[in-house]
Amino acid sequence: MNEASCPTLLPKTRLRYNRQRDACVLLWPERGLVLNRSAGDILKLCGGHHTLSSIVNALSAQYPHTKRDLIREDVHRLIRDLHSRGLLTLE
Amino acid sequence: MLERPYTLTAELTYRCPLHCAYCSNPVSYDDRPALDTEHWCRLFAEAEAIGVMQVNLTGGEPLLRSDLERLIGHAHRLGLYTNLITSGVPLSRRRLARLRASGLDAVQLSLQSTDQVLADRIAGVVAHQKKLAVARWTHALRIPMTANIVLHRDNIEQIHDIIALAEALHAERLELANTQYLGWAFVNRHALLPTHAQLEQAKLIAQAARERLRGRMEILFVTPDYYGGVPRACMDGWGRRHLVVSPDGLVLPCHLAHTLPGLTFERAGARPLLDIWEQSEGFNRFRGEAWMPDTCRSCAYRTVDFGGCRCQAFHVTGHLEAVDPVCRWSPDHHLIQTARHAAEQRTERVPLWRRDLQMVP
Repeated sequence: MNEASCPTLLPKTRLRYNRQRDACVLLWPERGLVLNRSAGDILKLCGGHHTLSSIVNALSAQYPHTKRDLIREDVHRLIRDLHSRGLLTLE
Repeated sequence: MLERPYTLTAELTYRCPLHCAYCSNPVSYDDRPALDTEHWCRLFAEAEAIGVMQVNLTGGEPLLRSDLERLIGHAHRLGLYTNLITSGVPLSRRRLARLRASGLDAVQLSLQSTDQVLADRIAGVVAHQKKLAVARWTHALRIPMTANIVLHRDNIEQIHDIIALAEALHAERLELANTQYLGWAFVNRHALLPTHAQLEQAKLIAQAARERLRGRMEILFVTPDYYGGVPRACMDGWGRRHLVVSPDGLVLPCHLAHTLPGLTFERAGARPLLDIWEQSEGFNRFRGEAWMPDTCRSCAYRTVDFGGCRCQAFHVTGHLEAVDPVCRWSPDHHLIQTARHAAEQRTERVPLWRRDLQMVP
């Protein structure tokens, strides 16, 4: 995993908004995660068209009051976690 | 506060071409007419409206319903994640393609063994080769696949080969599900229980494979509660996250809840689903902690296992509110230890009982 990696959610996953919980959810067979707002914003960019560094840039623009280093740490942690669960690839 | 349900398990029929000796369907049930297409569609819409996000289409064998395409299409249009849980036996490649085109998100295919003779003996019919073909079609149609294999005494030593088979079939997930001793599996418990040594060996192999395949194939090893000393959080807790609807439309917290005496469950459509979820007597019976015996209510694990499995407590001890007997602090734990001891001692083969009530040697 490096700054040029493109995280891509696997075909078994579905990312969608759930209106009852007012949150984005990531679904895969018999499992799911209710995401907080920033996690949802990160995963929306995990379609294979954005590198890790461009995701961090986009989130920094969306959350201007949060330090870039913290955002970078959060993005990397989430991507690493979902990768180890077999939910996304890093091209 | 009571959460909204996440998952709907739709048991579309109890009919099935297989006769597995560990089948988790009820051993006996009233043979009422199954819900029709329109009722299932209405139920899916109601479930989605109260917060359900996934629907597991299961049975029995859901493919025996000719309206499966319509049901999947309807669930898909509602935005539900659809997962078909199947033996694969009645499937053709053309129908699988049609189901995919209707919006099917994922397939969970059951396998019985890596060895054709043993697999067919466990299933009670010749099915293994067909299942392998279904797995290949599923991969060719790019449908995410979970391979599910119920582990027991006769196949648990094949776990290494089972993992290799799942890899070769391009499964994205592998569920190594140790038998839960309910339904037919409880009837056949003496024949199915593995030994402690078998189990420990299997656990080590599964752990090693999970590390090796991390990121490629997800491996779930469902620990058998008979050997764990602690109850599992059955259904993530009674009436906390899951709705199960039986073929005839009973709305249940688990697929065997209607086998418990003295509990009242309601039929889908009788009143709004949210009212059933929130208010029905059967759902509220084992929510929270008020119903718990003192052993559970004073236990730190009560927020982890939610009091374990009610069906197991009843079928083993005869009492609905008993501590789940797999728990090492249960006053009935000796009943589980006795069953384990018998499994350790046994050397002869034990006949299996099946759904059609024929004894298979």
